Formats: sequence, structure tokens, C-alpha cells
Amino acid sequence: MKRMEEKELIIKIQEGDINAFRILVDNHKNLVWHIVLRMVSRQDDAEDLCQDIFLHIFKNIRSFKGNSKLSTWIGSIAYHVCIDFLRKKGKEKIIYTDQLPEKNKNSAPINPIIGSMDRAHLKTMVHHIVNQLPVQYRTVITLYHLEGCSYKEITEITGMPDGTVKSYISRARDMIREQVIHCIPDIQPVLFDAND
Amino acid sequence: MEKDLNIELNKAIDEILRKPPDIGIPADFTDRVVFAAMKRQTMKESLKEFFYKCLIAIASFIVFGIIFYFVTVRTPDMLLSVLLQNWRFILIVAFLGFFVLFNDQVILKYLFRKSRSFF
Repeated sequence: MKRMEEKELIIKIQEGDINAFRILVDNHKNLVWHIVLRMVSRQDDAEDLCQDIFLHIFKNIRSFKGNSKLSTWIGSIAYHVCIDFLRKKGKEKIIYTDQLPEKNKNSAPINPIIGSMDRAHLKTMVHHIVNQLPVQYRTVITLYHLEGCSYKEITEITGMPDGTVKSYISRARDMIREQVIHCIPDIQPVLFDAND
Repeated sequence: MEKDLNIELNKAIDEILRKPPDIGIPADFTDRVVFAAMKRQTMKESLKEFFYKCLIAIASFIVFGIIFYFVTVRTPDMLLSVLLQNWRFILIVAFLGFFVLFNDQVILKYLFRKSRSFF
């Protein structure tokens, strides 16, 4: 969405135009859904949180000053609402540090797979592995790969330093790759058969 | 060979991560959010209307008081005496007035909206 169109949309929402708000929700619901679902994992919680986030945006639209893209501002609200939710539920220990954490010891182990495996199973496995990563890792991975955000945008959304974002993305990919190789020792047929 | 494998695996993982999750956002999500926002906005406007009408009622009372002062009592002591003698009556009328106004402007409108959405 172009900046000028964004500006006009914001003005209309500030004036109480519900149709303009509908357009904003339609344009950004996928971004919010992907962030929230990746962070909280449960669909019921995700739906409620997404609704709360958009109502929060509607109520506080005047606080958007236009210093960043609208999607970045919305993503930032979604991220921080989820962090507050996870803290209240005590589900995640949120760590802000450049030190890379140890592997998640509480996660359910993924046993090596013996037998045939195809790309669809690989996809399910990768998503399962991602869901077991620490919340900051899975958030930056989602923003980077799924939403195509730049490092700068991810920094603005999450408040993490630029270097931390890059480390988390790189480390998360290494962890996913290690887990996949551990689970599928004979990964070659899965990778190369699909390319034939 | 191992290097090729790692490259291919990285490509496969990146491709998977670029695809949206299997659980999609509900189809009626936008409608639900917009409806909730409309309810909130309508309640806010009802309360605003109630507040402005209260201000008009108070202003009317003050104007009436001024007219009453100049036409009837003409001294501040007499006006104060009239007010103190009838303070219960004035309070009851004021309370009833604001109560009726609040129910009309806020509660009834809310209940009608709710019954419309229910049916």
C-alpha cells in the first residue's frame, strides 16, 4: 500500500470511518495472524488476540505518527500484545540478549524417522520444529521468511537490535537444519526426488 | 556432496518457511472485528451525546436560576434560602432527569442494538 493511500486511510479511520477500518483490517490481517499464531501457537488464543490487536489499533489510531510504515506499526503492536499475553500466562521466558540460549530442553523430542518421507511431511516437521524454538526466534523467522520483512523492519517491530535479529535468523535456520538431519538421517531422497 | 546437501536443505527449509501456515485466519474475521469496533464506537458516541445533553440541562438550570433570581427573589440571600429549603426536591428532580436521560441515550440504545444483532 502506497504511503499516500496509507495516510488517507489513517485520516478516514481517525474520523471514524468504519469502511476505512475494514480496509485496514483486510490489508493487514494476514500479517497479524502470522505473527500471533507463530507466537502463541493455539488457534483459539490467536483469534482472540488478533481481534484485541485490531481493536487496540482502532482505539489508538491517532498515536500513529507516520514515522514508519503502517504495517511496521501494526506488526509492532501485534508483537508486543503477544509478548504481554505470554508473560501473563507465564508460558514463555522472554529473554532479550545477544547471547544465544541453549536448546529448548523442555521441548518434546522429535524421534528420527525411519521409512519414507516426502515434502509434505518435511513441511509439517519443519513447522513443528519452528514451534518449539524460543518465541523470539520463531517471530523473526516468520517476519523474515513469511512476511518478507527486512532486518530494519524486524528491528522496528520487535525492538531487538539489528545484530540480534540477524543472529537469531541464522541460528534458527541452523537449529531447524540440525533437527531435520537428526530426524531424517537419509534426507537426500526427499530433497532431490522433488527436483526431478 | 555434503555441501550440496546443506544448500539443498537450506533451500527446502526457506521454501517451507515462505509458505503460509495450514491454519488460516477465519473467513469472517474482518466482519467480527469491524462489528466489535462499531459497537465500541456507537457506545462512545452515545456516552458523548449523554454528556452534552447533561451540559445543556445544567446550562438550562443555570439560565432558569438567573431568570428566577431577577424576576422573583432579587437578592442572593433569598435565592440561597429558596435553594436550601427545596434542596431535596431539586436533587430528586435532577437525579430523575439524569437517570431518564442516561437510560434513553445509553442503556436503551445499547439494548436495542443487542437485540437487533441477536435476531
